[in-house]
Amino acid sequence: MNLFRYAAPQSFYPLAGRLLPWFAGLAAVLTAVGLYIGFAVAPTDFQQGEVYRIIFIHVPSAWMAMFVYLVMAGYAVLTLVWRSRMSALMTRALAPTGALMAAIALYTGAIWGKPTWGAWWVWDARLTSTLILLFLYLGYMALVSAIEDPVRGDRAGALLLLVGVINVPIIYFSVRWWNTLHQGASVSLTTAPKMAQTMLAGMLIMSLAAWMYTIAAALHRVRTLILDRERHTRWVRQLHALEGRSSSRRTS
Amino acid sequence: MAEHHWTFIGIAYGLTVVVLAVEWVVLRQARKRTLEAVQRERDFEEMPS
Repeated sequence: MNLFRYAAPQSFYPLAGRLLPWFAGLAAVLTAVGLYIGFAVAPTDFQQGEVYRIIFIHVPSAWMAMFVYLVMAGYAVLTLVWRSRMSALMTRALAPTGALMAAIALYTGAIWGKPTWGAWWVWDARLTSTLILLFLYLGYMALVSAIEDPVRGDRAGALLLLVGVINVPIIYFSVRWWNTLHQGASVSLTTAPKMAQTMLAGMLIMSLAAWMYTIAAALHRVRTLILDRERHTRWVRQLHALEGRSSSRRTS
Repeated sequence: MAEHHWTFIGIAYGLTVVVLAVEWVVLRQARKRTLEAVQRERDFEEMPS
């Protein structure tokens, strides 16, 4: 199986359509399981009380915000080096969901911070660098939509992404490099987790759900972007004619 | 503040449900608009000159 054929929009479009329901379905199932464990199985935290349960959306969204940016930076390299059309489209497709994840991480953190720290916001290194990540996402989206020529927009956006990627390790290591109010990492690949097994299980399952959700949203968005970018090509005309026929058959 | 914990949890989760629902509505609307644009261009080109 030659995976490179999916670098062409006309090959990727039907594949994305087939994969989309699977990722959306998995996101729904994993969210249900994760929330069940998070609310019905995981115990109350002895220090924070019930409000810690916000971590089941706060931590997965914060991880996703960072990870999506890294994936976008990877696609940016492919866009600049190989001028791959699908990489540029995938970068554009991921950006709004990445921004959304950063926003969710920030406001859920604020809602958790008020009862725990007594403040909605502090200019702490972790919080501030995550806010900068949100601005990088918004800046990227504003830049690519402001440039009329899509190929030039893709390249300018890719450059901005690569400049901004330095912020991701800053976010990750901020709690080690500086004295921050934000707690250190509770989960690490090298040390034992600092939380109960059920809390960790709920958080990891919700993280998987966030992955599935992000992939589903990106696939949905990239299909629209492909149609928009390639709408003057013959394959889109033929595809649209076919889809039109099949939908009219369904309604008749 | 402990008596309000469930209120804070409700706001965090409720807001997230709304935000994600809005994203899907926007995604579906964008796709609908694009399909209509493709259709319009096709109809225009198929018009007898």
